[in-house]
Amino acid sequence: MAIDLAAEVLRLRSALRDLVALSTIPAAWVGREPPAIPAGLADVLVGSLHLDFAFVRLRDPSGSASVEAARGNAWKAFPEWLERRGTVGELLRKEIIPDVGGDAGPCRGIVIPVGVDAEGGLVAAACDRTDFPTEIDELILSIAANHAATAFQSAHLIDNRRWAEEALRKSEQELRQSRDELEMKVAEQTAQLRRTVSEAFAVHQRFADVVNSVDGIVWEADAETFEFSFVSEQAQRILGYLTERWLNDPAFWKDHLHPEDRDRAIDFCVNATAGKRNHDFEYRMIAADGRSVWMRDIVTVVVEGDRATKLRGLMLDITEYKQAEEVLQEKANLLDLTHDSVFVRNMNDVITYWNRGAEKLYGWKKEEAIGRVSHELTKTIFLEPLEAIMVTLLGSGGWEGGLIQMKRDGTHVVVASRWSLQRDGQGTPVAILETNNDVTEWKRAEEDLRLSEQRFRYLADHMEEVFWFIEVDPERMLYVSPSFETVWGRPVKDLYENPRLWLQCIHPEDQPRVQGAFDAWLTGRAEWYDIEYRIVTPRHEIRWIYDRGVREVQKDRQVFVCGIATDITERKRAEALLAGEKRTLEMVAKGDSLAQILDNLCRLVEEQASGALASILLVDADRLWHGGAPSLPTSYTDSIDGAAIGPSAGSCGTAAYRREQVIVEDIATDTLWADYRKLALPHSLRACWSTPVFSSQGNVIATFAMYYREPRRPNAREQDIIEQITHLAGIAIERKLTEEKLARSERNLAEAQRLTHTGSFVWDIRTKQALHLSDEWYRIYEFDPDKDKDAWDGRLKRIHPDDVGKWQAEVDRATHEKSDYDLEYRLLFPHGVTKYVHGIGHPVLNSSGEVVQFMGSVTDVTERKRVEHRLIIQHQVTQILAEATSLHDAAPQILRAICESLIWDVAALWTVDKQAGLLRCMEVWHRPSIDVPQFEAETRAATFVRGIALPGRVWFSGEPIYIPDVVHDASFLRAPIAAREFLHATFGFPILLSCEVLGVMEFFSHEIRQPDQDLLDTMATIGSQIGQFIERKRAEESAHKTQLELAHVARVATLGELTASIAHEINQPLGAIVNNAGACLRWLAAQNMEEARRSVEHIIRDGHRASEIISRIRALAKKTPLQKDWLDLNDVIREVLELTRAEWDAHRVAVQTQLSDDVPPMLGDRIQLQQVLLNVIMNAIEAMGGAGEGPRRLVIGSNKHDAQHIVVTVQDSGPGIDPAHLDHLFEAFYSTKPRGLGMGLAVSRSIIDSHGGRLWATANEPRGATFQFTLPVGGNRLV
Amino acid sequence: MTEAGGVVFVIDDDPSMRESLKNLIRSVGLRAEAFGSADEFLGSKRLHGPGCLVLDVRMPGMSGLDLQKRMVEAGTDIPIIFLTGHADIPMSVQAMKAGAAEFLTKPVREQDLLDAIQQALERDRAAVAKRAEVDDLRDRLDSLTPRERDVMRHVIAGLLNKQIAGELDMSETTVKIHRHHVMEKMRAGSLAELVRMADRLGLPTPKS
Repeated sequence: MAIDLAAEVLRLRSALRDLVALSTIPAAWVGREPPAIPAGLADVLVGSLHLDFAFVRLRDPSGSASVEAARGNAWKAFPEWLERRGTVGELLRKEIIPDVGGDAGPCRGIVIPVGVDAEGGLVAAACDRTDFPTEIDELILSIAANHAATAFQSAHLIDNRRWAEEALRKSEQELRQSRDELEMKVAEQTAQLRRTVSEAFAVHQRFADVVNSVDGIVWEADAETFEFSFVSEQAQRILGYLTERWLNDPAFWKDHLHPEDRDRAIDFCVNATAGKRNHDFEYRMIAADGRSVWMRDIVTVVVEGDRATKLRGLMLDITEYKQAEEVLQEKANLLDLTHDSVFVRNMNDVITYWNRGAEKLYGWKKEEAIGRVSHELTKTIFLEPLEAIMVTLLGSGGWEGGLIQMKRDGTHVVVASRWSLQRDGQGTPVAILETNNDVTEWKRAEEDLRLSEQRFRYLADHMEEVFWFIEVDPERMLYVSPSFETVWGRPVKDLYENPRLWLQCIHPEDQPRVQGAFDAWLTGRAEWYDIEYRIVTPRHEIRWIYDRGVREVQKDRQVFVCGIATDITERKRAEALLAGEKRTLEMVAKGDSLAQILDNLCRLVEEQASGALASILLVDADRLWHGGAPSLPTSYTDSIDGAAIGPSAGSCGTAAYRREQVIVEDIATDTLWADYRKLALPHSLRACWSTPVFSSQGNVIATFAMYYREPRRPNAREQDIIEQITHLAGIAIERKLTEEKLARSERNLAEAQRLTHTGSFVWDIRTKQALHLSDEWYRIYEFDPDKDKDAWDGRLKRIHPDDVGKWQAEVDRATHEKSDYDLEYRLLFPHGVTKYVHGIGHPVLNSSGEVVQFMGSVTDVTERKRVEHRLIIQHQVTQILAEATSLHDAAPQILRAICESLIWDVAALWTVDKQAGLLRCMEVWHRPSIDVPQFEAETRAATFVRGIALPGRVWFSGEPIYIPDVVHDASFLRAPIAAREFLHATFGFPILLSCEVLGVMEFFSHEIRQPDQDLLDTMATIGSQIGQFIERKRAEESAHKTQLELAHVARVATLGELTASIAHEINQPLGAIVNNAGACLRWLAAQNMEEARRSVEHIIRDGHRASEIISRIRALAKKTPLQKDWLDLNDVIREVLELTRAEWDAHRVAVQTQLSDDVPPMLGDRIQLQQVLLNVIMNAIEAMGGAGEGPRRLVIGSNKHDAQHIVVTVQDSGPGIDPAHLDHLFEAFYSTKPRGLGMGLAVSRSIIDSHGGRLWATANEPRGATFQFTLPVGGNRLV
Repeated sequence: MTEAGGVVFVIDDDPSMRESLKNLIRSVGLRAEAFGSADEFLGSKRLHGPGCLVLDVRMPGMSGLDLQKRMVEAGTDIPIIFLTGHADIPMSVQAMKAGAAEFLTKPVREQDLLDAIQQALERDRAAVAKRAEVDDLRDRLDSLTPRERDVMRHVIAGLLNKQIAGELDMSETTVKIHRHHVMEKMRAGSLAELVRMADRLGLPTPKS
């Protein structure tokens, strides 16, 4: 084939052209967005290459989305094709598609992958040329594709880069912004920091200034090594060392301590630090220039955790101060020489110096005192306020005053204290010097003296005695106590002026005597001065003085005397009076006549009161009688004798009337003397003072009067006398009156004794003789006071032999116990009479407390005893009879009671056997202590007819018979036996009922006894009591019998009403028996043995039942005596209900039972109680039997009524009970039933009564009647 | 319970009596049941066969006479034989009037009692039989249709078929048919028999 060269060249040209066109593409793509690239390519392909369809897909190998573009519509179905292809697998190789299915005509297509493994995408083209695609086409497409891919990638990259650049720029911008901000902040902070630093610095500087300005070394050091970690600048100034040396030298402090202080200081500091205690101490350090500098170191211990880690402190230079102190100390050392207590304290009161004197005074050693606070050590008590003291001290530099301080041993000292203030060069107070003297002793002495003085003063001022102190030469009064004025009646100052005043006041009669004695004593001639004398007071009183003294002699003959003068006037007077009284009392005791005694008294008065005329008048029956008036004229005393007492009866009469003293100063004028003036005045009697004399009971028994011949009123002394005299007079008169009364009394006593049969006695234990026996005593013991001289001994014989032992024992006891004796005993007289006496004795003791006498009385109480006995025995018998059920029961008790009370030894009771006409012995009793077996046997066996032997005769006569001694009595049949068994007295008396003798009682005694009317009277009463008892018992017996009869009758009657029930009851078992028998025959005929046998068993059973019923009914009908049994009342009720079932059934009565389980068992007669229930139930049924209105209901209930009783209730619903009949219901023979006996309820009630219960009826609500009865539970007495 | 021979019920509150009566009755080969009270008896199962009651007049709770009244009211026809321990004329009259079979006093001669029982049982048997018959008739009646029943009613009233047809508004022929049915179902041989049956059943006869 001829290659169409021209065409080829054209093709090549076009191809080239295409290539060129293609090659421009990349440039056009520069800077274009990735999506534009495939579009551009597609354009080119279609446009430039004249393709009909171009599809370009480019993908960024990095995996981002691909971009597509399509041009031309020759390959419409390309997307579908691609999809189809796509799903199978990626296009890896180029593909040529012959027919792309274009609308215009067949087109040929080609798809070329881009990149390795088609990762770049693909290019697809279609052309309608038939030779499409040529190699060149393929090539061009490939190249174009690759270019596109590359460009795409580049564009992508560029895009990315641009974007990244953009981002970077943005972040750069942000970063720059942040940096700017940060820089600003930093600048701020820096500025602030700078400010703070500068502030801190300023503070530090200030602090450093402060520290360095302190006039002392401020320091800090390690707590263990004492190495300084800080030192203020002052250190340099103070010690001369550079501060660096302080800090650099670890042992700086230790090295620079003064050798003498080193150990002490270090130890102190170490100790304090170890103890974590802040401390303050002084020591010397060596300065740079070799000086010793006293340092005061105030140290604070810094504790971290529990360890002391640092020390901080201030050192002060106290050298000067110390020096001053030293100087002071030196000076103070001098003070050790003095005995006074001197110590120095600084302004903080710390003791810095303590001298020997102080040691001695306070007891604290120097070492103990120095360093202590002074007033703490001495516990100073300031007598002025401390502030005031300090003011004085600071003001004037010194102070003096008193203090109270305490020594070491706790005792207090009073000190006189002087303080001096020590100032330094500048005038600043540095110390106080205190000098103290112990003035305790002196103060005490002062105090003592003062007290002593006080005491003396007190004594002297309050005592009545006159204390006097006289200096002898010259004679002057040193001291006289104020009581001088009271006694001498003259002012004390007069005595001071005139030391002899006291002497001058002495009674002229005594003066010479006293003066002589006093002078002699004063001059030393007499040893003693002890004297009594009278003085005359300015008021003319005479006083007795008892004066005595002591003398003080001293070497220089300055003598003084002192003593005590006592007013003994009273005593003197009292002595005189006492003597007078004694005299008077002696007279009284002697038994001098009243007249003599009273006269004596009057004279005594007149002695005591000069000028007085005394008179004593006795008061009797409202009149005044002459008692004693030795100095008054007889005519006067006669004239007033027997004058009446009255309101204005002179002085005495009025005084007695008014019962108080009457002072008449002047008889001539006083109204009281109106009637009597004329009697007194002629005798020149002007003043009359009368005082009543009272008895110890307060009655006026006399008047005592003092007359004067001039008008006067009594002074105190005279009143005194009056008092004394009236007292005495009272005694004397009363005594006399008492004597008379006594005499009268004695007469009365004797009379009283006679009347009461009481005799008194006094007997001496030792001599066993009677000292006094009253008349009555003799009479009781039946002795003659004149003839029976040994009556006292004789009395012992009179005491009843049975009682002697008792009596003697009692007297012995009383003697031994020194107490009273009081006993009753009997006297037995020869003639057989017994008396009962009541003896009382009271011991009289001597001064040693032993019983020497007995005084007492003996009273004849026979009469009383008799009465007592009689009452006792009657009471006993009554009681016995009340409790006894029969005479047989009572007999032994009665016999015993009588014997014991009335003291008989044997007793017997006989009863009359009317039928036999004999007396039979029912009982014999004897006292347990005696034994009369034969007599007893005889008596028990004996029977007597009327008139024979004692019992017989009593029976016959109906009167008591008394035989004093059976042994000698012929009529006593048992005499011989009696004699053998020592029975003597006997008496018998009848047991009477009205006039019938029912029996005889006999009593025997082994004593011979006289008939005793009292005894007979008592026995008569007893006899009649017994008679009544017998009668009563009989009546009871018969009543009981009657009741039983009645009950039976009623029962039978009731049973009669039960015929229907009874018939029915019996018919039941009978009917059953008949039936069973009939059945049995048939069974036998049927040859059924089993049934036949059973039938016979039933017959037997029913037969028994029938007979049971009959016997029950029989029991009810029987007349049985009372049979007490323990019953269950509910069972009883049920039985009765069973019995009456037919009745209430027949009457169509509904029966309801309300029987309580609480009902206890009770003692009663079953039959009788059933009878009652029957009766009541039958009544109820009958009551409801009439016209049948309303329900017929019977309710029977039982219940506990109270602790002791059961109650049974029977209620019916019948017509009830007419209230009029209610009262009569229980009466005998009362019946509302035509056929009734009317006995039922009466008998029922008596049955219940005899059980100790109650039966009553009440109306029922709304209709009907209720019958109730109570029964006592447990054992009750059934009659 | 059905018992051909019949059951005798004994009611008496006295146990021995009860026992003895039961014993007696059984000894002649009869069945006996004993009760202590009327209530007890009423509470027990009812009988269906012939029976009779032997009853004490006086009993606690419901008396014999009361029981009789009760049973009469209830329509039970069981014959009652009264026993009593009390011979009370008014009571016996009352009992007999109320339909008691017999009134005997205790203690009862056993022969008298047994005879009375036999009579009573026979009576009751007859009654029972009669009742059975009536029941049968009743069944037959029930088997009729309503129209048949209507026809029957008029038939027994004696109406002619024609009349009946007029009355019941049906054709004569129909009437005849019905009638035929009636006779068949009722198993009546004749009109007369039918009438008798109706009587026995107590059907009211309507008058024309």
